[in-house]
Amino acid sequence: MFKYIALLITFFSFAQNQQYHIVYDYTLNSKDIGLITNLKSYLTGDGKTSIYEEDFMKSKSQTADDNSFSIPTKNNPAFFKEIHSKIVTYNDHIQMKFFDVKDNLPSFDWEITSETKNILGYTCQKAILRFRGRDYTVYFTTDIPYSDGPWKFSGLPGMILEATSDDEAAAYSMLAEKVELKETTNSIQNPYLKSNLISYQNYLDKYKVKYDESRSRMDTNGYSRGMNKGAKEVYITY
Amino acid sequence: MLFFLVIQYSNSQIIKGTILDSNGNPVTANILIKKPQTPQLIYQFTTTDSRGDYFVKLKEPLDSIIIAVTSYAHETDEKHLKILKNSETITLDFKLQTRITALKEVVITDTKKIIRKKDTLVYDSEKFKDGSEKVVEDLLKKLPGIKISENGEIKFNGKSIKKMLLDGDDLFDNQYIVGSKNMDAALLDKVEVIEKYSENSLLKGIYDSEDVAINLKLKKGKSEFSGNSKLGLGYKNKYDFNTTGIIINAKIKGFGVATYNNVGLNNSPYDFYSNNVSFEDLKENNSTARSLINQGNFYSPLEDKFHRINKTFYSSFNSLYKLSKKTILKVNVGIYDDQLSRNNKEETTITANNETFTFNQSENNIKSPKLYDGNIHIENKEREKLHWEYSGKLKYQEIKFVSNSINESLKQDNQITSINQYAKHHFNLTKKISDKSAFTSKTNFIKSSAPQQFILSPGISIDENDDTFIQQNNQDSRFDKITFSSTSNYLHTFNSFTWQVQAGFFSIQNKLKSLLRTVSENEQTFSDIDYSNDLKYNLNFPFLKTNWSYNKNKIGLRINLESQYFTINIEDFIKQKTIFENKMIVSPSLQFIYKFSQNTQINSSYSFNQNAPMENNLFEGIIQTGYRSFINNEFNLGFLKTHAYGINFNYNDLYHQNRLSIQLQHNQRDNNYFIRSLINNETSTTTAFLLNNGNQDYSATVNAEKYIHSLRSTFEFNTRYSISYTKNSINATEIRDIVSRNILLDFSMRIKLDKNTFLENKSYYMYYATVVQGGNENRFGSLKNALKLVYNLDKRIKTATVLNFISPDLSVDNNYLFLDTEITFSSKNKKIEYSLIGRNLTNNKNFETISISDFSRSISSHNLINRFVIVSVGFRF
Repeated sequence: MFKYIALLITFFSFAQNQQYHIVYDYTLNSKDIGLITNLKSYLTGDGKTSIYEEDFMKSKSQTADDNSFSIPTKNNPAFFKEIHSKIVTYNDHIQMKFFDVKDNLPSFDWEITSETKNILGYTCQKAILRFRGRDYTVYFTTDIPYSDGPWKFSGLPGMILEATSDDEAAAYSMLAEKVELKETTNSIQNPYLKSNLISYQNYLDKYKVKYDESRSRMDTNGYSRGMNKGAKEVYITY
Repeated sequence: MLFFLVIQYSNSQIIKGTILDSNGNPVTANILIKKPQTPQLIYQFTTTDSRGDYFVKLKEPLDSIIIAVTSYAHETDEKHLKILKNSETITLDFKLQTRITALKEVVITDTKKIIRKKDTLVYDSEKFKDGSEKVVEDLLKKLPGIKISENGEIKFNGKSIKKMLLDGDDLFDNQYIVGSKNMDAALLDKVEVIEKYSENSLLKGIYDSEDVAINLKLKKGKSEFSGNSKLGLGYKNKYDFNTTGIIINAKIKGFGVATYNNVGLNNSPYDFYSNNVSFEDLKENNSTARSLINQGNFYSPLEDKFHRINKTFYSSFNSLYKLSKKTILKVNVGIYDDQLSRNNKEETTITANNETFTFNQSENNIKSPKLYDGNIHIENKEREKLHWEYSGKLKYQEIKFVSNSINESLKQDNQITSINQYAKHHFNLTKKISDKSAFTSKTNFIKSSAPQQFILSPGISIDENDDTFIQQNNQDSRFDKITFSSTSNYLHTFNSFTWQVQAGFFSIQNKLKSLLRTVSENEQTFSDIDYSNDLKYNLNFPFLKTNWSYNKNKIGLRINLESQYFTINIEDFIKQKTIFENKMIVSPSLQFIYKFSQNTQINSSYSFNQNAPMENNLFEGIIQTGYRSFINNEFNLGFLKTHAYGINFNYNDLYHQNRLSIQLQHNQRDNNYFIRSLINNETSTTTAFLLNNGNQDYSATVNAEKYIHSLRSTFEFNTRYSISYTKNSINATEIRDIVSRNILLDFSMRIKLDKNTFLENKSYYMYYATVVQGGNENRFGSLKNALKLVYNLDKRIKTATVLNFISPDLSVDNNYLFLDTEITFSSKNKKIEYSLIGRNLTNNKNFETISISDFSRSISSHNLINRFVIVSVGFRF
């Protein structure tokens, strides 16, 4: 009898899995080019894989202008995360040329502190991380026992509901404003299955070349509208 | 399940184990270590590997811990551990039960309101400042996507902004350039660009407006009152004074400016000098009564700073009061006073009807405009679903123009007084019906009149039978215009598209009265019926507009349809005729967009426009508009019909630093106004007439830009070729066909020489040719070259030098060289700024230029602002 119940439960959990869907209010201030972007971002996952999407599409009107610098992406930038193997595949651009990047992340060396705060009714604990030249502060909750978070973050024993960083290059914050846990039959698909992937190092090399170029290109006022040194990650260290 | 285990104490405590599920399969889980004193806090954690093994080395020895194992697919298991004695390693395995009760389904939303800024771009203005910017406009120029037109209009991504807000409040109303051209850039903290800006908060979520607004965020911690002042003194007798003040507190916002200069500057929204449409006219043009009598020609192909000889006083005060939380009162007043002068000389050769003749004219002009402008605005948002606003405008302007003209050998005095009165009432109402629909209504009532009086002495005879001396010509002319319009909008949004129906009613009443009288030597007044007008022209039309738009993947399609039903009533009291006509007009327009890729798109459009004749296209009586010019029309009530076709191709590859855009345009007119001219040595009379034999024009524009990194150089290339077919008649010839061709080439190169040095060279070539079919051809070419060098000695000392070379007519050897330079020095705290400006250092006195038409060739010259040097000090307080 017990066997049957166990079987039933297995079957049940197979067909329907529980997913989390978190909406973040996302603000990015690229300090060296003085541009602040604010939009919503969405994290959807099932514990093994997740997709984090930054909603540029809705935030921009489709201006058909030649010097438009808003990012008219076909799709929103999406980060496909394989949580256990620490691989994040995502689409990012350099001067509007888009690349599908496969990033084999190192193990995040999270340092847990004893500070806590309440976010959306969840008790969250503070953790800090130094990652690729930047310091990050996050708040996570074990009440949502998925080891995930916005952007490339994962590896904490719970869900990250807030992530912030602030230094001379950029300041940004991702603050959860909605948490949804529900049963669903939808599964999470890797959107980059057919993509031509480049490595993170390869992307970094290309970025450096374009950064140097952009700093010397002047407009008629003698002003360079240079690229930034990186935002969430610092690509340029000089 | 809770276990109490007793385990031996150790110096370096290691806990390890394996985590399996009830079937013995490894589980991915988190292992949390907590101190029993603080069971809510995680002290340390680790995760299992693919075999389900875990390993924790405690950061410091503990005698008791709580170890919890969590996994999203399993029930949490927690054990209490007491550590007694030395022990290297503690092995602790877990067997997790599959989660029977799945995590509770929840939806948790933040209760506090988050200000959505999704359609806002924010620029941190400090990052764009290099110290050279003085007023807000200088800073805005540097922000990506923002461009400033010559008349001060601000555009974001090619689109004119609707409003410029100050800390979220619309202090400047329609006249934002008062702020952009006068407010100190140092006050700014951030600049926000708000796309889909809607003044009407009730429409949020129902209708996404296409409007763009700029919000200037001021630095915090500034005192309630601040301002700046500039004193400039120059040789010879040059002045440039400027004071601005700004007051900001919870109840009141205010900005005031007072300026005086005679160095060619204009910081106001008004323009009485150039042929450009001023910022003010841009907003009010269609409803303003027209003026026909010319008040001097101030045209020049050079930049205004070389020839705008002025004494400009301008003051404006803008204030905003928060009467209550949701009621705002705004008052904006402006005063403008100027004296503009210009000396013109012109030699014109006319070739028509197998004869060629030349005449000379010169004119010394002084134009003195005065303007008073008052605006009031009240908005009330007290009620949740019903908002209203009222705005009123009163404007009075008076232009006194005097000149001494020499027409061939006849010396004449010209005196022209032009008055323009303008009163506008605007009422706006919005009612929110539901979350998905709203109703808005706009009502406008505008009254404008423009009386003009022109006294020319001695005068010229208009009576063929009288060739006695005419002491004076007295031309009076007055347009009156009353516009009433009421537009209602019903908006309804469905999930993916918005449906919009606009219906309204327009009523326009025009009146023109004019009379030319000549006064003979013996004080006898003569007038002729052919030289007078008394005309009423009323247009009433209800209209209905619908919009459809479709957007999917790579394709966008827009269709607009507007229908108008005109009732036209014309009364000519001179000719004693009345015309009454009804007309139904349908104007469709179509736009198709195809996106090839992220970088490349093509956009094609077609529109068919039918425009009712303007009030200045209908009068038949001749009006004297200058000492030698007369105009009138042949009456025709036909609507102007234009088919406009356009194709735009855009390619912008930022990654490879290439940009290319190509525009092709074609206008096909079913009918058009053409000009019949009668020109002799003394006078020119032009008559406009509508001909059902239309004309067309074509143009092609190419813009390209390329950056080459190895040269640190940006190359930009713009060219435009246009060809137009038109008709005219000169001195009673048959109607002739005319083809004109115009080529513009402009090439610039920008180099960053090093960190502090920037060099730009801009070349501009223009060629114009016009041919009468089967007849002679007129053509000319001109060339300009500007070389600019910006060198910053350090962060506080900056220099800019511009050398302009101009050859206005390449067929003759007559070239100009202009040298301008500017040095600025700012104090350490940026409170004081000194600058030294040298203008026209090569001291050009006059500028000669050429203009041609199919029957004429004119060489004209005008005076310039003499060389001057000015030193100025600016303070901030």
